[in-house]
Amino acid sequence: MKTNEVLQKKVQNALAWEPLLDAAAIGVSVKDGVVTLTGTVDNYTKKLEAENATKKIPGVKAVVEKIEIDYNHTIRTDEDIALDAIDALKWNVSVPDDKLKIVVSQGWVYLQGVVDWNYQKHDAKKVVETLPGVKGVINSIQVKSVNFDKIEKRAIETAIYRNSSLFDKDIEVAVTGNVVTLSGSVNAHFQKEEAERIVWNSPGVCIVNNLLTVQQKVNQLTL
Amino acid sequence: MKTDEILQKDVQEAIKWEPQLHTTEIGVIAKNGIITLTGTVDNYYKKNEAEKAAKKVNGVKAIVEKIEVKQNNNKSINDNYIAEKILNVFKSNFSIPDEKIKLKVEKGWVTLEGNVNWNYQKEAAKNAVIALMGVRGVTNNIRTKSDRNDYVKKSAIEKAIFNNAALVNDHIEVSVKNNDVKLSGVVNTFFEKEEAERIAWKTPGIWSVENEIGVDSF
Repeated sequence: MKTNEVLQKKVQNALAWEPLLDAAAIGVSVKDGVVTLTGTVDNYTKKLEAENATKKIPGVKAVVEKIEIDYNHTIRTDEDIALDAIDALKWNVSVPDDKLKIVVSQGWVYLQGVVDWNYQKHDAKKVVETLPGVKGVINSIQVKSVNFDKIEKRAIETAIYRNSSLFDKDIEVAVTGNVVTLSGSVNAHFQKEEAERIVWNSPGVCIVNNLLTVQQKVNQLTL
Repeated sequence: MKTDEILQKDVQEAIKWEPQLHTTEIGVIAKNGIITLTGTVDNYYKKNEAEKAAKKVNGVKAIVEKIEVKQNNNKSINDNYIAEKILNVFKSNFSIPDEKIKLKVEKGWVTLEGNVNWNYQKEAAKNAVIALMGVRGVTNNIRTKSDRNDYVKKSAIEKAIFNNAALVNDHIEVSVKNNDVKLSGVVNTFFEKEEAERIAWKTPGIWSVENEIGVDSF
């Protein structure tokens, strides 16, 4: 069997394994390790789940996610969604809701504002993406650190090296002003994301260029 | 292997690295690779984050988490208010079968009960309350009972586990008895142990997962 076909089968199997998803409703096409997902689902959670399940498969280099959402019966107006979003952000202890602005247009939620840390930006998105009626989230929140100390390359490297899923990987850290660039390779997507998360926790970081590549090892058993 | 002194210092550093946590609030004790976390924080979310940060440190074999969450002084966020909010959150979250879940809130402590068909629904219910204002703890007594009676296939679980980039090279043993699954073997990180369990819980017809996978890093 050709590599593309094998990978397509694997992605389809992985989607079928998710109880939340109806795999038959999602189309999978593969070209050179790039997987494109198409089809229509009835909420945003399913769309995210399909993408997540696909990212975890060895051999997947990138995911192009083109799944559309059709909320067949429930009609939620933009005002309903906006009110829900404001309330949900207010109730969440990790999000500084007073620093955020929300715009909702045709089911799409636009998050704006300036926060001190990237985890706050990240959590704000997570809070709104599961609200009913949401078709997508554009997270334009800016991270502006209140700390103006010089970023310590050494501290970042130590933090990465301390992590049990990253300590044996070849990860290069480069610091220029308040920009940190990661390069090298890891074996799985979660490692790439975890390395980036660690960098964002360094005081003073404004931009992270995550150039880590995911080089997955393929196990014969799964073929 | 790291000595306990080095491990203690590494866990303290890892906690300090998380912007939402203050190292001084949390005590770290290391003994034979087992980390005990103590101290008091002002919400349940931070307690969870501290545990997560400690688990990721290379060399940590197990966590005993004894962090306490302060009583909430804001009188307007009382148990009724919290319960009402949680009911709303459950109702609006597509992954949670809210009609099957019973809820109790006592002094900010949330107890969840009921029967659901899938473990991800149980997890979603817990995850939805972790970061809510006023929540001091969660006891998740929701039970998972599949509505399907087909026996679980060992080969299907193995295939799903080894089709995961994080687990592809791990030596995980799967044993199946009717609808109950046991996982064993040794992996390097807690993430892998938990990911394997999550995958096993998604098997059609599954009733229980016993996760005996050991975590042993270098």
